[in-house]
Amino acid sequence: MATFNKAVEGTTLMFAPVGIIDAGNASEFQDEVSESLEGVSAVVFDFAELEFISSAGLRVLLATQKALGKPGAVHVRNASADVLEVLTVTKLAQFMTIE
Amino acid sequence: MSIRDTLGQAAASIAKGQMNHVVSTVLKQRSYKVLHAVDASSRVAEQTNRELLFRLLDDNKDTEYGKKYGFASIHDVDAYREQVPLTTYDDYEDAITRMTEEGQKNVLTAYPVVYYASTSGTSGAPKKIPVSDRGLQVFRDHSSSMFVSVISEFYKNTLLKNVPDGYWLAMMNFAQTPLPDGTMFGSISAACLNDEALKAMPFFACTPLDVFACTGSANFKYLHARYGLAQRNVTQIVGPYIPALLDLMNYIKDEWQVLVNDIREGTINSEVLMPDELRAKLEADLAPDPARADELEREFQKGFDNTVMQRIWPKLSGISSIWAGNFSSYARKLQEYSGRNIPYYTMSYVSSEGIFGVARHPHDQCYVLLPGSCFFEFIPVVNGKDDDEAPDAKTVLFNEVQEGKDYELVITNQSGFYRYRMGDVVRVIGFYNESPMVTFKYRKKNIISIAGEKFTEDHLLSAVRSFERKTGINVIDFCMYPDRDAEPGRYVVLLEPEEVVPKERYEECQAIMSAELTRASTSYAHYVVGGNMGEPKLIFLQKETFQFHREMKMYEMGINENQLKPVRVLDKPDVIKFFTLLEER
Repeated sequence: MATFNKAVEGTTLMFAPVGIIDAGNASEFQDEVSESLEGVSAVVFDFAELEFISSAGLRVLLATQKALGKPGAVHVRNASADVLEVLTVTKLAQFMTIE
Repeated sequence: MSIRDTLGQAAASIAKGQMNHVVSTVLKQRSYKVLHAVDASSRVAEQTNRELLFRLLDDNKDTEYGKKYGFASIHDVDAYREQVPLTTYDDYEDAITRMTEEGQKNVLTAYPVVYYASTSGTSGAPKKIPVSDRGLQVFRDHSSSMFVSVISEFYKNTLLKNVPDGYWLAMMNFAQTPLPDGTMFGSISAACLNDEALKAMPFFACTPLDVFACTGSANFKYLHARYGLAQRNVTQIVGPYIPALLDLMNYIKDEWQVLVNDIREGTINSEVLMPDELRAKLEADLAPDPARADELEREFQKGFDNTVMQRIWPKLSGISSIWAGNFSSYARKLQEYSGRNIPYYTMSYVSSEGIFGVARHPHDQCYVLLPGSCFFEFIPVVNGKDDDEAPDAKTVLFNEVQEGKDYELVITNQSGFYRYRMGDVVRVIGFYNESPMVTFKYRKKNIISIAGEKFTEDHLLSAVRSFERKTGINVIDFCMYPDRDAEPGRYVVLLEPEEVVPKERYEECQAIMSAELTRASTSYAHYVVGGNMGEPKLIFLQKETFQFHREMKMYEMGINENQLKPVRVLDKPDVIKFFTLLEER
């Protein structure tokens, strides 16, 4: 399970999920992101407290990137080595800004 | 809304309904005409096929290719097979480059090349397959409307009733891009839409034409769902591959409140990605529909069981999509929304190079070859032996194939490909009149061999289906790769189960999969028993891995779902890593 802490700073939406994102909660994660996207030009996912993200969660990241349109508009911060590897191997990282 | 506006809308609705009736009737008549032509040609299949070859040779004798191989001097099939070599795409690449970049004509075909079809699901630059006006007409006749008559015939014969008029929820995209010579390039399904069809589409397709033609980034799933749900009188749901239809229903299940709200308000959701000009066009034509929204809300609140599709679309009469074989697990999942009474039609055996066969009845998992579409030759495939790999492999003809035997398909199409090896292996399972009926078995490029065995995607499908029966585990999708780094080499099979498999069942599952792989292929079994190959490894993937892979591929390559083929054999290290990294933990 995870909690999805979020905040909006100007036109940037900040997300800091805690725990794991998998098929059990990815839909909730998607809803949390989707309902906050209006007027947003960038989304920052701070993964400092994210333990694990599954394929279902990765689909949410991709959907967010597609919704924003502009390459690099999704930022990923503080990802663990495992999460970074997943983002790189799946090629999601090449469309995002990894910080 | 004023009375005048209300009356205006009602009048428009009546007019649209009348036009729908006209278009539905015309579609049905044309479709029956095609069906009758298929039946008629099947009765004289060998003769039809032979006549097609000689017409093609005569018409193309003065092309660059025709002169090179002396088409003018060919007067029988044996001479054709002796004088003209078997080919692959590489044999045409130079000519196609000259055609597309320099506008050269009369190179491969004397017929006007009106389109270039992109090959689906490949990585790297897509191949450009020329499509002549004649070739395109064959596509149009058999691909887009054939199912109308097949399903109508089914209803008449089994339920003694007609399929009602109505609308298609079509998961299509007709976006095309121009090549340097001005000819358009895109998926073959996009080419099937001519001016006449474009004019008719607003009267039978739920989704507006502007959405189908959109080349920009857009959330097409939302748009098809939004417009499909708004239309109560959906009779057909159509999409090239069934995973896209299942994904649409899953999306509706997850997002129905948003969709219903947009139908109620007559809006396009502001958060949905699409080009501004498309949004403006769509919004200009929308009107609130609270009655339909209320109906949908009531039905969705009852739940997403196996009656939901029939409850929200009471006239739904058929689902047309490629669903057989490799895709049957997706069909099974979709039936959890549709029930089993709605006929599923597996459409046609089609590729960018041609339309080769059509399913003659709903629920058929085989195709009747079309003798008027291409000249067919067949290379016998005997127990996976290598004889068929030779560049001068012997072929047999329509009237020489035998039931129960496997063959690689070789085609001479109406767009400039001659004796072209499709690389598809089909099994002849019988005859429809004189025409062979075939099932697709595997792609030759997807044959796995580590120690000398031959293992195909058909073997894998067979093993996975048995695995499901023996374990009770439903598999959403699956693939495999040869692990040549292991000592000895082994297969790695990756399954995405419908539900997470408990760790304590892994050992049992591993043993069952191992047994099923050896049962599926005797040649594989031989090498495993002999110790030349190791025990296979079974990996369970996280839920939604295959869907994520498809979405990633579409985004990365800028293609749509219609252009994706299923992933069965992983042959690139980066793709292997993609899947293995998404193993269930």
